[in-house]
Amino acid sequence: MFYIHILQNKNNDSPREKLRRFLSLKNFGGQAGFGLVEVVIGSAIISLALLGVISVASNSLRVADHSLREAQAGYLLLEGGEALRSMRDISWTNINGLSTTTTYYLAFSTTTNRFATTSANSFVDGIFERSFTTSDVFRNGSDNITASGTYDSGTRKIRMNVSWRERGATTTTLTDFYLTNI
Amino acid sequence: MRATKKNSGYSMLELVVYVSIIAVMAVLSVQAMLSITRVFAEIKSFSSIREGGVIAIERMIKEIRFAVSIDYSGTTLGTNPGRLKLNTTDENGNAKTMEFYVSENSLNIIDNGAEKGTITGSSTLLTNLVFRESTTSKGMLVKIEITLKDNRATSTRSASFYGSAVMRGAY
Repeated sequence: MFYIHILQNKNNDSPREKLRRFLSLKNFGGQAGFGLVEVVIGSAIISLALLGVISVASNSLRVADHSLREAQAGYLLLEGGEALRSMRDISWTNINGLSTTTTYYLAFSTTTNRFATTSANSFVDGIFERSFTTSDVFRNGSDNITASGTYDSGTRKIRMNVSWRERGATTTTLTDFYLTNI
Repeated sequence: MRATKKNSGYSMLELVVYVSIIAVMAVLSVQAMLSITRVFAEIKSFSSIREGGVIAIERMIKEIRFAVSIDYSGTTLGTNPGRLKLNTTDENGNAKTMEFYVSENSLNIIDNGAEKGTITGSSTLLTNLVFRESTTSKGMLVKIEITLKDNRATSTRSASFYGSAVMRGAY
């Protein structure tokens, strides 16, 4: 292209002018070529597309990280439920004796080999915070659980929470279940 | 003024601008390619750890829930690598055993004496498996701790799964 361009230079330009023409990306035999504005717009579009690809990549990484954490948290929730069930098996007062206004945490003692409730915040793996609260259960005349009615001392409603920090925000997953005195 | 003068193309300065734009674009695209390759490897490692962990812990929790008791002669509690032998029942209600143990950094199953092979994939290494039991007057709880690591030498990613199950068959 440059070669043709030089051949087409029939005017007796100065060497400086020839160099200028040689370095030119425009003006091949009267063709309009690309202007600076077109190049800037084009490169902006390509850059945006690339930025889009990069953001998709980083978002999918975040989602993969989140799904691993969520799977771990799910089993911690489940474990919390089983731990309270096991404590219920030891004695119903372990459950019934809990305050309905306190947030409790669970700790497994490797000396007694038992789960116990603590009021001290504890983190599993330094990441997951597992806590639970309990509430009283009331039943109506047909023995169904209702918001108000007769207090049932043999049943407790438990709300188990697992929360963790993820990229500056706290994610919480929770589950509600009932435990009865057997 | 000659006709060619008014349309005489771009100066060196403009060329420099173009070249720098192309350079920036090239750097950007190479960066994009590199980060995508890295991200794919990372996602693969996250999902293989999650899959291995979920499959292992899900299976163990299910078997513990169905179980009646622990066979202590084939069980290692409290230390890594743990081993768990459960006395359980099959679908017809006949007594059988179910064993979980670590072999070559993966979780293996023995179903009623028959080797059933590994249940964690080859893309992860089982680096920690500890069983603990918690006996109560009415039943028994088995606590599982499992740590899986990405098996690629370049990766240090690992994750621990904790699960517990009360033996329903022991009530």
